[in-house]
Amino acid sequence: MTTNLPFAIPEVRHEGPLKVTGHARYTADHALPGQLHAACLGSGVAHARIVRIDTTAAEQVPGVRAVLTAADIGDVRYGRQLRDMPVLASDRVRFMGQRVAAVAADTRQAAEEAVRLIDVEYEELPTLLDPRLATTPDAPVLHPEAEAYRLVQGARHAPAHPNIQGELVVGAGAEELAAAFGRADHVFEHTFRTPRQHQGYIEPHAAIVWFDDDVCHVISTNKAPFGLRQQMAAATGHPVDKIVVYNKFIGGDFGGKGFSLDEYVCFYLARETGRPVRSIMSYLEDLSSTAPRHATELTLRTGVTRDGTFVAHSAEVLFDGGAYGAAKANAHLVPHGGVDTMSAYSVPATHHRLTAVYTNAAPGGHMRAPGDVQAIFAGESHVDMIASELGIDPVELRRKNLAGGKTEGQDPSETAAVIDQVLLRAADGIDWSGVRSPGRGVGVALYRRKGGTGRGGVVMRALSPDRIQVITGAADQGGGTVTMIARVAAATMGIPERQVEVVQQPTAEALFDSGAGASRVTRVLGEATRLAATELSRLIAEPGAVFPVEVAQEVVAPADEDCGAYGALAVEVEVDEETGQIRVVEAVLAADTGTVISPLAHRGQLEGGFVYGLGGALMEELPVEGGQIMCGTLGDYKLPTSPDVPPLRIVSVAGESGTGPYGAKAVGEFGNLGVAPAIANAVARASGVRLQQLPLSAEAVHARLRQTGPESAPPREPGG
Amino acid sequence: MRPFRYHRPGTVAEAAQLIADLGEDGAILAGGTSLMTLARLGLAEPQHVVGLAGVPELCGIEGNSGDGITLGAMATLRQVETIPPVRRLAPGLAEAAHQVATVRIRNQATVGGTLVHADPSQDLPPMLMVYDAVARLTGPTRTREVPVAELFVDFFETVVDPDEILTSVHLPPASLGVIAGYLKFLPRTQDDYATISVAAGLTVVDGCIDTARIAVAGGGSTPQRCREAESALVGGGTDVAGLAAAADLVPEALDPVSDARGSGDYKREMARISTRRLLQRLVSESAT
Amino acid sequence: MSDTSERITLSVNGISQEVTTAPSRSLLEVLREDLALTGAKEGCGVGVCGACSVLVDGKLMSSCIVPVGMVQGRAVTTVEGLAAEDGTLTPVQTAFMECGGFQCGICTPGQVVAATALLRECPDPAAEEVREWMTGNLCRCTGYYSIVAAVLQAAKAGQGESD
Repeated sequence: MTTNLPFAIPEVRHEGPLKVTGHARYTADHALPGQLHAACLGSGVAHARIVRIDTTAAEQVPGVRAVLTAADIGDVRYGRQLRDMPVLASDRVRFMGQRVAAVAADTRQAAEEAVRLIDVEYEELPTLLDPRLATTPDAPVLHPEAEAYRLVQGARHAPAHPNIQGELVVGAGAEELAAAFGRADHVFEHTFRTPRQHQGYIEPHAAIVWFDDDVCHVISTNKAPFGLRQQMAAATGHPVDKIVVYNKFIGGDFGGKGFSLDEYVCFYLARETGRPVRSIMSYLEDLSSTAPRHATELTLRTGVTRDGTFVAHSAEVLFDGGAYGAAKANAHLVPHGGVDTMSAYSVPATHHRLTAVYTNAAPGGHMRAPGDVQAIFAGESHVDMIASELGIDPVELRRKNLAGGKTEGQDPSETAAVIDQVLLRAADGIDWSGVRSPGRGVGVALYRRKGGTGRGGVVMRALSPDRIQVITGAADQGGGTVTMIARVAAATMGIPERQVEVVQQPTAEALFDSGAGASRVTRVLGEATRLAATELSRLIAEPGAVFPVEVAQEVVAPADEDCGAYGALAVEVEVDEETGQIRVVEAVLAADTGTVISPLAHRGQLEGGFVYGLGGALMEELPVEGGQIMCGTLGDYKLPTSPDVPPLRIVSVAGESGTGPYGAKAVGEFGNLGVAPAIANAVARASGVRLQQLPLSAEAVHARLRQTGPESAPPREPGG
Repeated sequence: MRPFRYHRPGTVAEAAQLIADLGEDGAILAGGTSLMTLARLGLAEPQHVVGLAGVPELCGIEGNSGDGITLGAMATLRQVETIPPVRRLAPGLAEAAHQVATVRIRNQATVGGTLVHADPSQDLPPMLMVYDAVARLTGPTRTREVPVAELFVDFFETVVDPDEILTSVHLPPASLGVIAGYLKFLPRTQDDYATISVAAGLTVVDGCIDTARIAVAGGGSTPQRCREAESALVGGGTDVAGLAAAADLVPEALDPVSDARGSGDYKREMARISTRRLLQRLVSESAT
Repeated sequence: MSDTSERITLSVNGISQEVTTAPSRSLLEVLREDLALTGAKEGCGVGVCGACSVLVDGKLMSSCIVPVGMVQGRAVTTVEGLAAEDGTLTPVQTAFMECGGFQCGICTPGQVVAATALLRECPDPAAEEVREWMTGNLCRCTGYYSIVAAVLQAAKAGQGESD
């Protein structure tokens, strides 16, 4: 069946003409008649009790239609799962930038002027900024009322300490783990740190909300319209079937657009004024008050036998959760990927404890493979450090321990053979064993990324035998959802793609969709389309079929679905021993990413993912000092630019079939995963400097080179 | 940002009168890259802006080897980068202009703006110092000339009086013979401000350094000449040891702030290394 | 807040426009809000990201940091002004489609305008020149490889046209 698929022909994006001509309309491009402009006052302190808010002067600014504080709307809490984030702060603020008051006015200038005139008196409270201190006896309790917090769905399991947002413990019991470590000849323990990082989408958060009688309409940058609808209903008490969310084009997401803030503010401003209210965040607001990647500390421990076989592994992963848990999408309230410290390897006994704690910083959120990025940086650095200490070549140490590779009494599985190929193709691609000039070195990282999970569906309608419509409620954050659906539909029905029209519909019209996250779109919506198309073909082939013919198809990909893609990234770097500057000379990404539906989008996700990882590895950091973010613009929070990008080769490895349509696998949160550890490993082998903290800045390398002294060159890690 | 009134003088005299009349409420707008950014971030709130785009006498770049080069205050950095007289006679200046931010910014930002804004990390000022450039300032009652090396007082502060307008910058003919270059240390991205950057110019006669200029951006509250290092070079040879010894004197002249682009200590050290590397480059260029 | 409004005339995509507005507002805001030309986007808001790229008298600029008072009497070209009136795409736009030079598309109008400006100044750029010129247009989706390929392909197509 898969032999005659037309997927090899590069796709033409259905929305392409709109995007290249400037006619694609994103949230901020909408202007409704009579619309008001919203502006919010953010807290200027990190942790304080609100003594008094005076809005008198703000209300008198010409053109101001409403000024709201918690005194007007009540203590309304929202969140993707945990509803702990106030729409407007009531009794206290917990991070700088938190919304305290909101204004709607005829013009943006009037709204901003009014915000400047709002006077807030704070009584400052002790701050908690270091997550390692969160559960110490002297730590201030950020949420004394935490016990009353509710999840969007269901009750919450109360944590052991009020400053704990969430916890996840998985793996072997204490006894089994201790026994496994007991079989090791060596036990290695290393600690790694990763910083808070912003998703860096170019489109800041925006929303427009209006009421039509009792129906609340929302256009927003949220990439999960159905989730937003449910979260808004849970927070505001407005009936879920009276909220309609229209999301079509999203200007970059990378995890950050699953969390909404000013939709709630606009809801109350629109209700108060009876007019549409539009909020567009400035980038400063977006950097300081939305949900960046969790800063993380990971302590990894691995037991290894003399010959380099991993026998036990444990990881303590501490996430800086920020002031609210609201931005996390799972009920455990931790970035799940933190368990993937060693997911490409076979280790008989593993144990992971993931903890997210409250601090007085912006709420921690999701960013392109949440938790995985941190875990794989730590895990793959850890593996190289073990290799170095054992004097084993890093590629060989990995090959010895591949997942599925050594089940007792059995031959290595097909999985192990595929991972081996992935690893070897990357290593060969970078000329792993080649002789290199001084200051140069190669590094590799190997990883597994789980496939997409979640629920979604499509409605397929044959208006005539050669005119097919597919209705989806998915918002497209750039991955190419619409085109992917059309290609799967056309291929399945054996018709030209131009006969398929994909229609993005609001939440009131379309089938439920979990949203464009967790790499689920191709897996879930692609497979729903394939199944629907198969059924539709059958129905319209029946004698006497009456058009239109319609099929609704839902698909659920369970969270424990055992499907993953393996990747290996190999890089060559050059380290300037005087300045510490790291230059990535070349990179090779080998991947077993299954059947490719849309070749341009597939390559684009891998290339874009690689550069996304490059920024995260080398430069991106959103430091907070005393609660204040120290990078207020994209002039300071630097993202890679086109000349900063090294040559990248992508090598496809034929592997096991994926669970998506026609064996497709997820690639959206894949290309970025190996970059930081591969570079860190290469730097260690080029210069002898082992960095256990991101970003891998020139100054950090320089400082370590100086420590060891310019005269006594540090020993390089062997094998390259 | 707060709204402002926009004034469009047609001559320098009109502009000078306007700025004198407006006093503290007024601000001069050249290309807009600095003032508009500050205004958008709420860091500047002028009530009146005097736009200089319509003042023809501030525009243009002229030059020849006999008269030197005159850069109008409203000449864009892109013009400095691309215009033949600059490329031919002061290639170091074209090189420094080329390294400013992005082509979009260079199309907008101006010579006058980059000097009067007095951000100590700007790329053009140290190179103008290397070329012994002199700024011409016009006020209501007088016109005066100030060497660029003496223009800066502190962060975002110059000797330009509130009622003065910087109208042009002149590179004297004697300065055009130097072999000059610019080294912008950018460990993060190509469009970033420098962690540190060094401009230098040398004349080499019979293997001996005859004149030397070294100026650093990002090394403190102003861009600055490193005169001790210059003196160490003059009269010496072009051997690496001599160049390195001069470069070693650069860090002491600096007091850089610690920020996202590096700690003060790191910037100092990078200034030393950048200076030595740049001098080596210039010496090798002088030999060809 | 005193009323600072004035009447400003400018040409946008070849059409003369007159707006009454505070001259301090950004050209970007006036294009988007007053003239309903929402192709140029506001990203960083401080001239870094390039999503607001337009041409002013043919020169590539950040419309988010150009006060509209500054473009009195000048000619502005936005992404909406590039394709032919019948909708025929330019070689740059076609190449972005064919090379996969965009994903989410938010930066694409700026990329297309920037690439157009480059090819007008330098019709046959080397890959290095393309990368350098496009430095000011951030893209978070593609990693730039396909954008550079698109600009080079457009240059080749443009060469073909002029032969």
